[in-house]
Amino acid sequence: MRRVTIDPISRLEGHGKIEIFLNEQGNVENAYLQIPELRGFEQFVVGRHVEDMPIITQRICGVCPEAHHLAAVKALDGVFGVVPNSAATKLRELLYSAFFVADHTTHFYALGGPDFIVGPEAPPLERNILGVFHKVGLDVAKQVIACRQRNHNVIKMIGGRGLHPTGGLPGGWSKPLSQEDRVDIEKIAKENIEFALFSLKTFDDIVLKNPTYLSLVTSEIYYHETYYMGLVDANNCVNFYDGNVRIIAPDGSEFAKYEAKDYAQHIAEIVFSWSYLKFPYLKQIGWKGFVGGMDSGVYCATPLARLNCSDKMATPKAQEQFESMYQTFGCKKVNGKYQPIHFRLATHWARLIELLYAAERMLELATDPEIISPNVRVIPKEIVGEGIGCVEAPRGTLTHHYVTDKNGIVTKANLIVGTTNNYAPISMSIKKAAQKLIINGNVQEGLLNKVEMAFRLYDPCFSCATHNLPGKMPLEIDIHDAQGKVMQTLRRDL
Amino acid sequence: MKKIVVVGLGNPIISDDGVGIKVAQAISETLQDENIAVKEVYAGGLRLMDALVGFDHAIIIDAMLHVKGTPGTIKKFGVQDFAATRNIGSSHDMDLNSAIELGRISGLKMPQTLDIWGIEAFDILSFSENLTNQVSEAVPKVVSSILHDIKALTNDNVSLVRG
Repeated sequence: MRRVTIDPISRLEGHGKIEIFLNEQGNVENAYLQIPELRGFEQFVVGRHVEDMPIITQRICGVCPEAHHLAAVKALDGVFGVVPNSAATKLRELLYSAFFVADHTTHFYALGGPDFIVGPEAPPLERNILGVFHKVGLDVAKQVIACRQRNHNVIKMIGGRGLHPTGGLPGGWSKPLSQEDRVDIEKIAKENIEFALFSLKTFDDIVLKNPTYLSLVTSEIYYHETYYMGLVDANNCVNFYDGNVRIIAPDGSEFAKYEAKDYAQHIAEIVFSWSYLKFPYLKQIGWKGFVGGMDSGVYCATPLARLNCSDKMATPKAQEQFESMYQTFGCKKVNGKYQPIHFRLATHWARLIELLYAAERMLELATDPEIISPNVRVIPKEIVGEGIGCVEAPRGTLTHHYVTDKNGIVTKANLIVGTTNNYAPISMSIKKAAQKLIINGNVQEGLLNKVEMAFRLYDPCFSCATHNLPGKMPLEIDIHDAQGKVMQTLRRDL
Repeated sequence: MKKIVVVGLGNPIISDDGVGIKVAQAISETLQDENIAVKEVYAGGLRLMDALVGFDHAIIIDAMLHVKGTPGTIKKFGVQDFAATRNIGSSHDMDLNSAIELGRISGLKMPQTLDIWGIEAFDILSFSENLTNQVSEAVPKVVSSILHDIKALTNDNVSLVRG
């Protein structure tokens, strides 16, 4: 068996690699992604005050601290048996919407966008955010930076700090929003809507109107029929902050809808000796390997998954875009709901629709009279001892589960982070791209690019593992022969 | 007067990955100067760029890993030493050079000069608020070197906390 290794993220030997295994014929047998697993989280938090969890857990990741903060705070509501009032809930959601605007903007322009805007065949040194701005103009660069800044300001206004907010408390929020700040946020929300519409137009002009790119988006390489997961509100619309978890089958039917606290009845994890990863799958269907279809428990939790799980968007402009996307892909409506889109590169489009939804939702919340209510806390009076909090992180459903003793000291903690949900589908996408480009032992041009595109669309989060000071970032494919000897090395030094 | 920013970069709960944060905290306890800001940043790329806006000179401290490096080894780099960082290819953001360049072309004031201090880490995969021994021993040395640099940059015109 030959073995191909793509190593874009490794910090230590054996960690954070894409591995591709070839069979005797030189065709792809299997592929998976290894992500470095950080050790000892449970030992680290056991024995601490559970109230510290919203601050501690957001340190896990430099990219989405806000998601961990809110999932943790919601878990604390459960631990202390308290339900926050509607003003506090809206304040949390307002902060979270600003975070989604900033995060999705960054992904589109810095990560996903370069593949399309600069072009999938462009050299890697141009295929980055600077290349994007070279193509679309410096004015857009200023807008992207401004968008991030103004939304970080909103997070600071509501959350106390621009990074790593501190506002969340069991039962609500630590401080109300002033009328003065509310006025600023309303203005920012309107700017966000304009920016989201502009970004969608850019996507339309550059990707959808370009036949080459459109054929890439709808190509078989990036197609998988799997189950999808996402939080939905009472009307089955996408919601980032709250709702029930809805699972949609590959044929578009509703497979399950459950309260987040019941996750363990629906989700199981499988472990393999060759990987540090745990692969979550749908318990009631079972693990059938890295395959799609109705009989495989593999599911996906991404922006596209969330839209696939929803009947519609809760805001009008996002709803128009939602209609447009599903119609472009020729999806039929069955029982009032579009059939899912299985073309994974559509995730980039879905992300922009979510950006618009987040912006519109921000405006709704900022103009809600209750948002400046001085009453944003219900004081907890007891310790129930167990809580499960769930939000949609930008890269998938995020669940925090804590158990404490009678004094509120953590005895057990379990986290299913956004990217974890997608380990199996990411591996499947990498495998499919590799299968198309490695035939009878011949590794064709473009393997690196196509494989990169396959995992980038999931926006997998390695931030906590990749921000330390590095030297060069090689992207490497080692091709091993049947005896495991390296026959060929493809390498790109960035 | 030159405005200087000192940035500790890292994750404070992942063992040696937090060494940059520890150094920044020590410097912050020593300096008391309105022209020098000391910050903690938990992610590279654009979030790091945001922290550098408005300063003339930046000093960044982070953990580093070499294949055969000795834990606790201290190295000082310039921005030119990093053709690209890991963040660019697959992860979430972009490398430092691109982030600074992006800031510049967006019309933001970015530092003219930049020093990066790397401290060789031993453990960056375990949850812990403590550094491993050899890395911990490097902290006062880096702090002292950076303070020395700051004095040189400001012609010794810098306010320190007494004691």
